[in-house]
Amino acid sequence: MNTQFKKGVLELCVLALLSRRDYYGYELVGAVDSDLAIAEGSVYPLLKRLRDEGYVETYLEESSEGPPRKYYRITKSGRDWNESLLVEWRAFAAAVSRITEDKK
Amino acid sequence: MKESEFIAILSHELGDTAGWEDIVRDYAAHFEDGRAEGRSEDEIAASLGSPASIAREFRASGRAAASGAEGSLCPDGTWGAEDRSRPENASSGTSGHESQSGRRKLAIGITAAILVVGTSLGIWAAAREAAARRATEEGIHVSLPGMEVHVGSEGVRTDLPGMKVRVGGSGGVSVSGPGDGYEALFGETRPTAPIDLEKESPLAGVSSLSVSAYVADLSVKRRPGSEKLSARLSGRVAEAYAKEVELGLERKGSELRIEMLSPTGFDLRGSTEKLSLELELPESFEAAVVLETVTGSIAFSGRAKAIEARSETGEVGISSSSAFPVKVRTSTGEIAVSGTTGGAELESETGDILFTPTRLAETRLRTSTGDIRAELAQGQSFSYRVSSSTGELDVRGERPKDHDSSLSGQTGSGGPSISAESETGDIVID
Repeated sequence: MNTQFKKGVLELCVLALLSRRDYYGYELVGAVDSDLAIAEGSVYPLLKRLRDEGYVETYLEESSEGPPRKYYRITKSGRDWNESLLVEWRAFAAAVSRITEDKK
Repeated sequence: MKESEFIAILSHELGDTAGWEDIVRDYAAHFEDGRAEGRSEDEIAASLGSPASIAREFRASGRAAASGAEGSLCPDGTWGAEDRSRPENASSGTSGHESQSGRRKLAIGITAAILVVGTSLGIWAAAREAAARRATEEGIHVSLPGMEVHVGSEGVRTDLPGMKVRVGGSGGVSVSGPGDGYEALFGETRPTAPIDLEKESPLAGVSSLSVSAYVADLSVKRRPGSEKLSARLSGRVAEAYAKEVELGLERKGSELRIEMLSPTGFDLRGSTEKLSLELELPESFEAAVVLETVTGSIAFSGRAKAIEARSETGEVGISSSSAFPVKVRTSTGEIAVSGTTGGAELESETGDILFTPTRLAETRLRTSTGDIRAELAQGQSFSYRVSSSTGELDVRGERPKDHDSSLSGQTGSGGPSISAESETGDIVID
C-alpha cells in the first residue's frame, strides 16, 4: 500500500486503539504494525505530535520486569478528534467503495 | 544496525529539536522491549526504519508545532512537573554549533550492571535538563526509570544506592556508579584532552585497504617520496576517554585495515570534539580502497584500483584522475566526485550529489530528496535516462515535455550511459 496513504490512516488507527485502552509505546507499535505493515519508527513522531496537540497524554507505570514504562492515554479532546476523523474516514471509505465496486 | 548506532544517529540528526531527550529515551525503551521479546537489535532497528528519516519526521512536526509549543517537558511529570517552561539557559550561552556538539557529549561506560542502556540515556538526558534548570529554580526533582534525583540548594540527592550525582561549577552534572566502570557526564562544558596518535606501515603486498574512521573526519592523500603509509589520528575527546582511543592497524594477508577504536564501544561518538584521521599514501601505491565513517566526513584524493566510500551523516568528497570505479553511499551526507574517468555509482538518501568526471563511463546517480548535478566535459556525448517525481529535469537544456517525470535519449553519437534518479530533487546534466 502507498506510504503516504498509510501515514494518513495511521493517526486514525492509533487513536482508535487508544480509545479502547492505554498502551505503552512498543506494544502500540506492534498492534498497529501487525495490520498495517508500516515503518514502525514513524509511530513515535505521530505520538509526539498527538501529545503536543493535547490528544493523548502519558504517564509512567511500574512494569513487572525492568524500569517503569511510559503509557499513552487518550484525552477527552483526543476522543472528540478521533470521532471526527472516523466520520470523515467512513464517508471517504464509502465513497471509494462506491467507485471501485461500481455500484450505484 | 545495532541499538547504539541507531540511537547515535537519531540523536545526532535530531540536533536541538525540542524534546529530543524524550525522543531518544522512547526509542531506547523500544529496543529494550524488543530485546525482552527475544528480537535482535538488528531486527528491531530494521523494522523501525532509518533513524535519519525518523529524525526528519520529528523535526518537521516540531517546526509545525513550534509556534504554540509550551515546550515538550512532559505533562506526565517525568521531570517533576512544577515548571513546564523550557529551561532558561538551555539554549543561552552556546551557539547553535556548540550546543550541537556540547549537548551531545554523551559518554557512558556500559560496564555497570545496574543500568541498561535505555536507563542510562534517560539519566543522561534528565540530568542535563536538571543542570540546565538549576539556575532558575530553587530545586528540582527528577524522576527517572530506576532512580530519583533531587537537585536543590542543599546539593544533589539520589535514592539509588551507590550512585553519585554531582553538579559542577559550570552547570554540568556527572553521575557515577559503583566501581569505576560506570560514569556519565552531562552538561554544557567539560574537560577534553588532546589525542595525537601516529602509525606507519609498509605496503609491500597490500592490495586492499580498508579504513574505518567511526566519528572522525577521514582524509586520504598522496605523499610523494615515501614508501610507507602513514596514519594520524588527532583531535580532542572527553578527558575520561582520551586514554581509550586507539588507532588500530591490522594486516591480514594482502588486506590492510586501519581503524579508530574505542574499547568501551558505547559511546565515543557522543563525546568527541572534532577528530580527524589523516592517511598519507605513497605516490606509487594502488589498491582497492574501502572508506567508512558514521558521522565523520570522507575526503579522498589520489589513485586506487577501486574505491568504495560509505558514511551515514558525513559528506563524501572524492577527487581522482585514474580510471577506477567509484561507489559512494550516504544517508544524509552530500556527495561530490570529480576528475574520475571510471564508472560511478553514487547514492544518498537526502544528500545532494555533484558529479564532475573528466571522462564519463557507466554512471548511476541516485537520491531520494537531494538534487543531482552532473557536469560533463564539453565534447562528451552520452546516453541518458533521468527521472524525478516532482523535481525539475534538464539535460543540456533539454526538458521533459508534458510534465513527464523522466527523460531519456542520447547526445551526439551517444556513448557511455548515465542514469540519474531522484524522488523530489532537481536533476541537471550539463
